[in-house]
Amino acid sequence: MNKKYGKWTVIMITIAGLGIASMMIAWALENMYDTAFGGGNVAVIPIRGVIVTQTTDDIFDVGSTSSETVLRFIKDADDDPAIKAIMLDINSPGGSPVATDEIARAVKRLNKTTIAVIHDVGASGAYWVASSADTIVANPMSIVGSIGVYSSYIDIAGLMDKYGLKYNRLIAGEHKDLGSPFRNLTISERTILQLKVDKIHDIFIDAIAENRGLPRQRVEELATGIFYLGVEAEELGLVDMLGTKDDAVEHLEESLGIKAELVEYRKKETVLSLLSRIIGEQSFLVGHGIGSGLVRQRLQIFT
Amino acid sequence: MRRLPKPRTVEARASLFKRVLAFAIDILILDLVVLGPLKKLVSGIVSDGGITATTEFLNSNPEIMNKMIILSAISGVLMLTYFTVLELMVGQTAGKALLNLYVKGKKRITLWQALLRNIFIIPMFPFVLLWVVEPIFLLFSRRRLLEILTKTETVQQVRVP
Repeated sequence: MNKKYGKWTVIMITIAGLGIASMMIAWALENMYDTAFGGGNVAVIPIRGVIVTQTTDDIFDVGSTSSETVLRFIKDADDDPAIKAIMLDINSPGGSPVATDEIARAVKRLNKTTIAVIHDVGASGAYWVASSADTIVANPMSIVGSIGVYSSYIDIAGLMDKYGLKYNRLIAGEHKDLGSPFRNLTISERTILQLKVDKIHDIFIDAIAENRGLPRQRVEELATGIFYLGVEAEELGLVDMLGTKDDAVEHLEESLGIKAELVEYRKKETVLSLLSRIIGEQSFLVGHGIGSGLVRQRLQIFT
Repeated sequence: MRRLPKPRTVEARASLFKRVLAFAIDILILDLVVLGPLKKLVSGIVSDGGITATTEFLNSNPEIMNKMIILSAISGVLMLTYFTVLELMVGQTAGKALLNLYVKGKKRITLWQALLRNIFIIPMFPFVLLWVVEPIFLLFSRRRLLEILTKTETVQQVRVP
């Protein structure tokens, strides 16, 4: 018998200690795996920030979603018989056409019910992804659509001329340095690049027309690159219902006859990625604060 | 005035009923406090379809099966720690303390004795075999097999006139 402390003190301390240890282990396990440790019947796959094909744990690589990660989540959710529906939780301005097409194709291949929820933004490539889901839910004020493609780069040829820098061009293959920032585009090169952008635009329009069951010509009319508010998008047939994530859950419960339990699929959090995220988010917030201040100043001047 | 002899207390092997009740209390505490946070992680895996449905599900999902094994091992270690630490430090778990039972050896029990006598709590093979063996021993000899092997026993104070 422990003489120094009372019997019940030792018992209570041991139980409390084990309880705390258990909570810490549960937290660690939840963060150790890419996908949910278990539980839930609706997989929530977040698509946030710019959609790219791959991301790194770099501290500058925050605010993006990689198709590589999303595809793994989709596969995990599809393989899990407990998962009855997949919810794409979207807040993204779009991104790489390849990455978005990869995700959209994977979503369309699923045999499970899919639903996309658009928060602030579901534009361009992010809308392409959303269109592949069975149902799209957006807030009346969400930014939706922006069916268009752009490609740009900064041409520093003039700057180089100004500072007496010379671009020595040695190429094998007429267009090998097409798009080089060190020289001006020729008319034929501009045409080539424009044709590529137009081609991607065509593929984008085809995908939206097919996914949304809209006539191609109708989508062409809408695909000017302009964005629509959620309420406008609903009228145009780009969105199925207006609402929030809770409305989406309600819709799933009604259509599937289940009590929905959401389980968010998250990327594995390593110490480095956790640190990167914290630093990145802090930097973003600082930048966002300065930016908002400048915008407010500008508005004051011009309004 | 005639003086009555003072009542004496002697140690006797704990009754089966008290032992089962003490164990049930301990499991209830562990379930609520220690295993609660971990149970939340498997709420969807252990399906409403019962053991058969859950087993089928786990067999067809090796990744989740691995996670469940990890979780079982962690739960086992936490439960083993509860019994071992308390029996080593105060000779009683919460359940035993409430029912005035305690664990004793020939001398003060050692860490190895405390650990080994409770090893059955780990929900993994081969320890789960003890879930059958231990009650049988307890029923017929009022001592568990692991108690016999570790030369320990669970006792209670009994008043004798």
